[in-house]
Amino acid sequence: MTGLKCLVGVVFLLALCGKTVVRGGFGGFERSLRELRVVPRAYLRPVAVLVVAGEAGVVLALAVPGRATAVVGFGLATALLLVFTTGIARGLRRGSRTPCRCFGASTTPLGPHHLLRNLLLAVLAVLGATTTVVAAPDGHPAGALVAAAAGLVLGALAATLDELLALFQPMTPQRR
Amino acid sequence: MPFLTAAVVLVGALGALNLVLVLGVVKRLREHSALLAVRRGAPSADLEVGTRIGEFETVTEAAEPLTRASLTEAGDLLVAFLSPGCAPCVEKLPGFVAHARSLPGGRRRVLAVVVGEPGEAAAFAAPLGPVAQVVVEEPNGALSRAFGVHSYPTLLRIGPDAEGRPVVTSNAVDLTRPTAMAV
Repeated sequence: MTGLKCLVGVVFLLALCGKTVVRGGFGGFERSLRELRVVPRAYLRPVAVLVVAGEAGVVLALAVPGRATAVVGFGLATALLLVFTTGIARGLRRGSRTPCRCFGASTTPLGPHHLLRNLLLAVLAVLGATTTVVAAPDGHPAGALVAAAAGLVLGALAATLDELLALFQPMTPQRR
Repeated sequence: MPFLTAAVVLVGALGALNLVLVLGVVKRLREHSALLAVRRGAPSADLEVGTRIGEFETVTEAAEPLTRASLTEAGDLLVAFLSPGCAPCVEKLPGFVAHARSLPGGRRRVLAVVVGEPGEAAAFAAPLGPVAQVVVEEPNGALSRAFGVHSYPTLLRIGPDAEGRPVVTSNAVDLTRPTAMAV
């Protein structure tokens, strides 16, 4: 449970930083939303603000120790991830290939791997919520520490997935 | 036992450090790839007259949809690919704005594609808004791919061919002479 908390928490924290702390992050995110062409133009800004607020909520809820807040955090994370997945799926269906600015600047066009990543994360968040409700509190502190470390590393890897996948693709763009 | 714990912690820390370094290298490598792609970009002169424009779909800064079919609806079109990172583009920008303003047919007949990091590019594109349809995109974005342009500044004139599909009609656009374009 601690591990899952750290994993989901780090992913959302990195997403939040990519959209807020980094200069031009929010503007870029808004623009990528517009190019995704699934949000009506009038709602672009509110939707972008809501997404950032939701991500901040997840980070806060998971950072606070306690069962109730953890369940809320995991629930919110699941909801957000499902919304993102639906948005990306609809964007892909309309042929939009705008880069995913989920974690700040990126040049990787949206693709199925983003869907897969979000769905996996959603599954993990659901798992986190259920274990929080069902399981006994963490036993050994050392175990929790190891789980936390593993969660942090896996979360960081999930956030940098684009870069890692790009390593294994040919560097030269295919000529038409 | 304490030795074992210490050893595991040490190995774990080393692994984490390694991961951080590798991620840093990967990020830098991607920057280098992007730079290489820009450097290797073909000069625009090899976009020969008659080159067909590929299919694309994008949105302008004014949120108007733009597709290959709608490109030459208003007649011939002046297309400029600019990038905030290139000195000649920055130099040519005022001249281009003045030239675009002098064209008959107004902003429907001019398309400016600003390629770069969205924040920078949007600021660079600001003066173009009143005189041209502006599209801001990342390197290798929809329009760059459709036109096959990877070097900046690239100035082209496009028009419909016999079948009405947009093709390059000129790759040597002179910004100093206001041209009367046939409607």
